[in-house]
Amino acid sequence: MNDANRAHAGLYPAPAIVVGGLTPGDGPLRGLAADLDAIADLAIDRDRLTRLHAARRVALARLGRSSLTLGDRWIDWAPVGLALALALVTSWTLLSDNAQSLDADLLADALPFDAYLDAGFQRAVGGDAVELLEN
Amino acid sequence: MRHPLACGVLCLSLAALAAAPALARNAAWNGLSPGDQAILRPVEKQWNDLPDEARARLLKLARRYPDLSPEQQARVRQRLADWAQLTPEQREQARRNFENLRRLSPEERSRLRQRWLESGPGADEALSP
Repeated sequence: MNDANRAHAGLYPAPAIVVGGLTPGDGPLRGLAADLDAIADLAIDRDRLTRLHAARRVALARLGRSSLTLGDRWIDWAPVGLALALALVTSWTLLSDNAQSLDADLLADALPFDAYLDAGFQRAVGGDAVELLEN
Repeated sequence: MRHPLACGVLCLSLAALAAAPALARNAAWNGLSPGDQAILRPVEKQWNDLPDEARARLLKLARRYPDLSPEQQARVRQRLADWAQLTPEQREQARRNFENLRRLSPEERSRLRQRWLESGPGADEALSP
């Protein structure tokens, strides 16, 4: 018996009718796809929402947890962590760069650095400068 | 490893944080470029004994040196050796006072500089109200 005869005799399943990439045998997937479409359209009716909640409970029960932890969702937080780490490193680099540039400015300044070690000068720049200049 | 991306981020951050001090730590006098050596010649003898932070700052100064005016370059050359002789506390005090001065208005800054230059070092009386 060739394949055509087998199919005709019902020994093979009925030919697949492809609709939207799914075949009639893909019932659960079809339901999931419909749910996802509904989510995408923001048109979730109560039944679908209930099914989604139930599916979530089942999935979490299989994981043995009552909710997803941060560790389970690390992939969601990785970009945030990366951005924070880069921001920290950039800030640290800029601060360090500014601090290190200070010596060049100080040594190239018109005043000798002795001035900045002078007690009277220190008092003057430390808050007394305005009174000093006014007197 | 469960979180390879997170570990990667952590490693990258730590490597970046360690990079700057590492540059200064590895910068023995003989490892400096001829250009940096020429600028930092006044501190050559002290160089290998300087703390990493001081070396990093001096290296930064050497990199900025070409951007300074000839007058500023002359001042840096003249003061560099004395600057390196200061204790870390003295250098920190000078930086703090320099930053405080920079926070004043340009007019106040200029007048205060002028008064210090006229009265010279140990000018407590001249600078006191």
